[in-house]
Amino acid sequence: MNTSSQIAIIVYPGSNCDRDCERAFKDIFDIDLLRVWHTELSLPKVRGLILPGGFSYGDYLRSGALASFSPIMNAIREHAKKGGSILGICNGFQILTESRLLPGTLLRNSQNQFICKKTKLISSKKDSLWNKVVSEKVLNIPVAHKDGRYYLDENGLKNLEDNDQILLTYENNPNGSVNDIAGVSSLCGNILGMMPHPERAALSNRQASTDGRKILEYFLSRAL
Amino acid sequence: MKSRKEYGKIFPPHKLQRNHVAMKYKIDVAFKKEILDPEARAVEQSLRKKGFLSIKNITIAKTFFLELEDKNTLEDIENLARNYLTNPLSETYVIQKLDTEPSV
Repeated sequence: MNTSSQIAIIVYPGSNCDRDCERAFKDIFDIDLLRVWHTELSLPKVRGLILPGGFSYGDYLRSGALASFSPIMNAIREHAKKGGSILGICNGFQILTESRLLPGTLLRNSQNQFICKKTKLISSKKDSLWNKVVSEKVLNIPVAHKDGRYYLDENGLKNLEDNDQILLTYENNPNGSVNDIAGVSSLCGNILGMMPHPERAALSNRQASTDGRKILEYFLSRAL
Repeated sequence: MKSRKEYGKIFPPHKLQRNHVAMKYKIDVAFKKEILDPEARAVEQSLRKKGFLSIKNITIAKTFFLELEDKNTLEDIENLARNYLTNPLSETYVIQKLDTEPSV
């Protein structure tokens, strides 16, 4: 199957991990990502979408808020409604929570500092495909964010746990996230959001870990 | 990819008519009580170190001032405040209508 151009990446003003994602998908899976600018009103025919990390709209108002009002958002909602896969990384995760496609919100880190460091993540989803693809229990993937403190009220957290929506938790919580949550999925599992950067732990020749590949693989196996 | 010119068409620069009597609103947005605001805590700690020992519970809020044309109803403002200016999970808002004097 020709998998070229079946995955698109949305580029916002201030996105800065879009090229890293493109490089990772090209080098590992030989997939060319289609770049879609945020002012587009429709998406090309794709099976998966990536919302990259960065500082869309300079994090004005709230991180990801202005991006969630951008023209492409309706098309993203349509894609999600039809069951299409979406992977939001870092700022992409913030955009997904701001647009209510994922539950919760991301607040300023509890120590009020930007954190850029390697973290150990514990895989906590029980879904069989997840366990098959993300075979290891502990993944080494770095984080880089200032607004990464995941927050959700108690009812919401209970729903997350009951519906197996927690993807990853931190082994040593770096930012004060509630229940150490680092990444969550939507109820149907087609939308994934995480603060750590899997694309920064993917290339064996230049990155310290390749555990992020498993996350990208899981996204692809759901999308394609 | 769209050019800068086309982008301007989607988000036209906002121009208020000078002679139009507008509704004025003030919307305060603050974190809910249970939400930790590390910035406010840092300010508080620093002030206490400076000797303001009786200071406690500092909160920092954002204020939006806006002018609208008459046709906008209170529901519009509520919608704006609830769904755009705040994140309902972590923030609350207070809307206040301000006096408008007819401009010359």
